[in-house]
Amino acid sequence: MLAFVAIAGPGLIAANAGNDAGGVLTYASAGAQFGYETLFLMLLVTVALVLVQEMCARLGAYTGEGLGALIREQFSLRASAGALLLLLVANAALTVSEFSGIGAAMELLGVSRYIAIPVALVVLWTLTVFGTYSKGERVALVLSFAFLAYPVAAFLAHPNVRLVARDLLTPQFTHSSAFLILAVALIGTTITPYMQFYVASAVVDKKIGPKQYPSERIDTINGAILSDVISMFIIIATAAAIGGTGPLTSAREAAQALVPAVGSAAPTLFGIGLLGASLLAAAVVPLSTAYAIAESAGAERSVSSSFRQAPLFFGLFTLQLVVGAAVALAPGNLVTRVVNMQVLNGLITPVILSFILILANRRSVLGDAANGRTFRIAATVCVVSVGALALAVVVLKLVGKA
Amino acid sequence: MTSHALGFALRRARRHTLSRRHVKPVEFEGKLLSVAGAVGSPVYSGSGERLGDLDDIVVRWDSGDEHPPLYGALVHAHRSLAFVPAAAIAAVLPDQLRLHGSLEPRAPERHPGLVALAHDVLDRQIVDVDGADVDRVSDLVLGRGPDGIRLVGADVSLRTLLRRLGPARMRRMVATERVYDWASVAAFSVHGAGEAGSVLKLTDAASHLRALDPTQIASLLDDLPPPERDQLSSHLAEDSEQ
Repeated sequence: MLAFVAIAGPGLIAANAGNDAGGVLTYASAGAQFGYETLFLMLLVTVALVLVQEMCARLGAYTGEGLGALIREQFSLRASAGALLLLLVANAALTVSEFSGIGAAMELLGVSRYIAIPVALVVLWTLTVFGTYSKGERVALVLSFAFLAYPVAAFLAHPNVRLVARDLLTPQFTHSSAFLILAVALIGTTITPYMQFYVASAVVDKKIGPKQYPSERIDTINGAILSDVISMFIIIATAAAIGGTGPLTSAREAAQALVPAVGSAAPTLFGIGLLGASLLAAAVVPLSTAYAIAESAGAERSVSSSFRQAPLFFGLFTLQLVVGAAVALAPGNLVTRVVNMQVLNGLITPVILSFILILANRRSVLGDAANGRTFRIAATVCVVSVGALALAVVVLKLVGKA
Repeated sequence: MTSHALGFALRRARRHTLSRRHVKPVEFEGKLLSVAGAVGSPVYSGSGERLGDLDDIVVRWDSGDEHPPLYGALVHAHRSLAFVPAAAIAAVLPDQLRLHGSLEPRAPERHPGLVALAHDVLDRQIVDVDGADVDRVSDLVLGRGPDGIRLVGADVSLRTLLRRLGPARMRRMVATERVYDWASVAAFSVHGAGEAGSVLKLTDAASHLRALDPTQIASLLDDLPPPERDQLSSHLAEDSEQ
């Protein structure tokens, strides 16, 4: 275990920093409800994530444009508007899950959600709009390092290694609507539409072009794999602690997974980690979404502007925060709400992936860097599979079986 | 989410500097026509027979005129695209294209200096020389005057973009007060007319860019994708050496 941590440590730290409330609680829920049975699915999801993120990074590197701009240039205006509207809905759902995560974390630390969430809304909006949030983001990032306890806990819990290996390497699809819905949630929180837009834009922002792309590609692939390694540790640690007890209903239950690593401090540590991760994402997601949509529309998009100068940008940013906080404050189970928001993301994901796949297939966009035959087939299989799962959940919901 | 993601989000959201846009509205005596509104409208022969749908408007980019003249149109008919030269066009109206005679099957050919407006310019980035800003084209405006039909303006407003999502009648409207004179726009070529990337030929209007201060030029270059950024940089560098 020590050797593993020593070798993969830095990468794991970086990958862990990518966890948000939706990710942590959905993976924990998977472990609690189905034990190790979702590990094989996570393996497949990792393959899909690698393919998708590689395409997004390649699009950014070879075109110098983000996905929002590319979609506008390559598709009809109505199709583009539809795609960006879906992105807004998906990211608003993510924002709901982040505020729900803030509420769940603070309740674990003894503060009511009805105080924590409104305060977080005001603080996040003020700090971001007035440009001082970057000072606080380091604090939030350090808080989220609490989740580094998951790999440690996963080992110290002494899970049934044979069972883990079996469920990791052989398909264990449970024939139930609950498994199907959780599968879509896992896809939605792992291959989230937000991350695809972010990956492309980050490559553009770093001014990575075709010449630098080969090394960036390795980073992208490594990042995707490592982030899913962390996700699997969350599933394993939770499964070892409370596997088979049914869906997760509280953050306190999820915290049980950290007991082997930190003992009675588990709830506090989990709460701190969840708070940090949720605070980070609750600012990043609405800000990036507002920027992507304003960029695609060609509108002003600067936090240095006033509301009057950049109404679309500020309007979208504020709308997402307010809607996110308002829905999170609605009565109901916060953890269930978080997982449901990931299901919504999972339903929207195949639509966004279709746009990405079409863009990456076009030689008019990528030239010789467009998808080759093998990659095209593999990526199409992924997108179609994700779409089929999403469609199945929609059908189940419509006939009232889910 | 990663701290890198937040830092990146904040950095991007701050980087785009405001420019005091000095709009030079289009001044044209004659009727104005929206390209976005016209595309998709029916095409009729001289005898009134419906031939197909208007796919695109083609203008001659390298004519030397501030307002590129109409070169022809692309018509979608019988599951293929046909090129119609300007001489065969009787009228370009907001809701239809009328030909003098019938549609002669002529495959469209790409030539340098020719630009298909809906495919190559609409929704792509242009450099607004007057405002020292990079904008995205929401609509293009043709003007019908005594010397024929020309590209006379560009509309980069969000309102026009939203209007294009509405019904056909709304799409065909031209908001004159939001249309820039095309002469004040610098477009520059990347690989030639119509290929992947953003917009096209370097015009003399680009000389105005040298009058900008370095901060404005840097911000403008920063907003462009690498191919356009490199081309504009080298053009500015060549001009400064002369």
